[in-house]
Amino acid sequence: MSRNCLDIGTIQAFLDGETRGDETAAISGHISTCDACAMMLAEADEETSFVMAAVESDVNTLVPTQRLWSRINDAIEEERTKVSFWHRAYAGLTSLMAGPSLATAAVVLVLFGFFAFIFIPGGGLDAPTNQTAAVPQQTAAPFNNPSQAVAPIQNETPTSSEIAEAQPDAMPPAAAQPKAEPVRAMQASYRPDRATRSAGGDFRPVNALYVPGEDSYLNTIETLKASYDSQKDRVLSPSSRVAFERDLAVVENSIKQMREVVRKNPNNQAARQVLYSSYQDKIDLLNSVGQKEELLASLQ
Amino acid sequence: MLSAVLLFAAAVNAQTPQAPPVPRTPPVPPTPRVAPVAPSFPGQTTDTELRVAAERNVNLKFCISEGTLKINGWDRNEVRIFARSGRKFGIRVLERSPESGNATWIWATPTAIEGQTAANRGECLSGETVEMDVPHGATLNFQGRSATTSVDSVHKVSLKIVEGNISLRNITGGISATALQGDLIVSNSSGSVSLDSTTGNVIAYGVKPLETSDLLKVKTNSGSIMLQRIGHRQIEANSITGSLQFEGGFLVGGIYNFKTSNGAIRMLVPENGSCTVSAAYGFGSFNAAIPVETVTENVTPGGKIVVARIGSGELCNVSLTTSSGRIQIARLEPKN
Repeated sequence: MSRNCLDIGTIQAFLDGETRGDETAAISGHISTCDACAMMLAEADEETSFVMAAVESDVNTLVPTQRLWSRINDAIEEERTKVSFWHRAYAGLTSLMAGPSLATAAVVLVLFGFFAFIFIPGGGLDAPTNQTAAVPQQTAAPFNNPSQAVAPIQNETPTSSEIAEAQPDAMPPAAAQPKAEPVRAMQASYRPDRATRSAGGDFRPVNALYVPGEDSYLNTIETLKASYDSQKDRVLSPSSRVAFERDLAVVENSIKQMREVVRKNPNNQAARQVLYSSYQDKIDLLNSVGQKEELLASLQ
Repeated sequence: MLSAVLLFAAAVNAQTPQAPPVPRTPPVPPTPRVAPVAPSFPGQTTDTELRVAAERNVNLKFCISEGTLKINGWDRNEVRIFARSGRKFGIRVLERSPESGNATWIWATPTAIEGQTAANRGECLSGETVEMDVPHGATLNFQGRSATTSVDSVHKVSLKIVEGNISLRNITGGISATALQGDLIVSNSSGSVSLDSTTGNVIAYGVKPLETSDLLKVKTNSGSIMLQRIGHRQIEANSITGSLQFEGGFLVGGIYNFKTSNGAIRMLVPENGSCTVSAAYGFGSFNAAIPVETVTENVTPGGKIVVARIGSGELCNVSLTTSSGRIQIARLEPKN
């Protein structure tokens, strides 16, 4: 037994699925090289199986299964990621307004703004009429053709399609305020997407330099990984899971090493070849779980 | 404008209920997973033997849930199935020869007993031992949950077993075998061969093609692969954490691909052959114990490609890829 051997608590946590992804990989990696820990894991696995077989009926009636909890959490996580930026901003704002002092201050600010709008010279209601003609032409130009930035002035009878395009810009400034909303909507729809990716375990480094073809491997792996996450609990037995995680850790370690080499020297053909090979191994490995489920399903 | 928004937000907030706290997952002990268990039928096991006249090239399909399965080819135009201490079963003839009236397609499946519906009857045979005698020209197609399987002297086999070792001998027309948890051993067989195991080892020896284009494909995740006296000109062997050994001569026009992520690749070949070897490895090593001529050598930290010739190097191509394993080419001593 080496000095770095795992303690029984860590092994039990590993068996119970309570370790994080990186811890799981590290433990799997260690177990693959340490006979003493592999033996200890096998013993703990047997004990757990024995105990759980005895109390299975009680456990199943008292608490939902792990899979059910996973589904509930996935659904909640999905709902959370679907909430747009503006919804979150709105929620933050409303929580701020919950305090009576802040709400009072807001009312005062509104009244002040209202009176300022009415009484300040030049800020009246009839001011925007002269600006309306200028604003649409300037704002419409970038969306159509920059070379025609001044053209709408000459064309005083636009076609119906041009009218349709110009309509949002032709509104007065008071109503033109929501004009910026399409841009905001783009931002809001982008952020949840990014949040979903990180929640989905996207392991791709930011600003990573991909070698040609690597991205397609990563996309495939990402899809298969999601599929594996949903299948592993019902398809793999604890011992198979340990073997699988060990193999996965070995392959991921290989990918990591080769990726470092390729990043340092993108022209290293040998490293690229081995990197692609390792990616393919990972795809095959993840795919094997799906194949197993398929076979088990056909034998029901 | 901002103040209007703030006021509106305050008003709405008074009517909007707070979002409920997100429930945290309680630590739930994992449900123990065991190998798929066949349904048991206490008091319903019996010895059953059935026979049916069949064409020489009969197709037989079935499923086995548990037991030891032995299939043997014989010279009779007849199929015999015997299950010891197993469920009662029947033989359904799905197709007959218009000339002889013998069966050309057979399905062996359990028979319904009192109190069972089609839904809970299942489709898999079971028994302590299930023996089958089939014509030599038979084609077998079956699946199984937990079965130790041996097949001898039939034409073609396609099988998938979840758990259990598989031994295939004298299969003349091709093999497609998958063992998720178990070893796969194939000997003295021919045709296109595909062997796939998840955690088991794969051993193939004395295997040859029926046609030049026949492929030998071997794959395992964590097992080792050993190939000996292989006659195929196209070989793909891939293991992830296991090692890989090839023993035998290279053939003219051969294309050999051997790949392992973490294991070693060991080639035992005669030194008088003629082949070009391309060895790509990341953090492993490459050495040859037979005379080879290095054509190109691109050695950089973390990635090396060595292209070498055995003999003139014109007759075949060998590709060896490993990430962190060792590649070794050793001399195969000629046998007297």
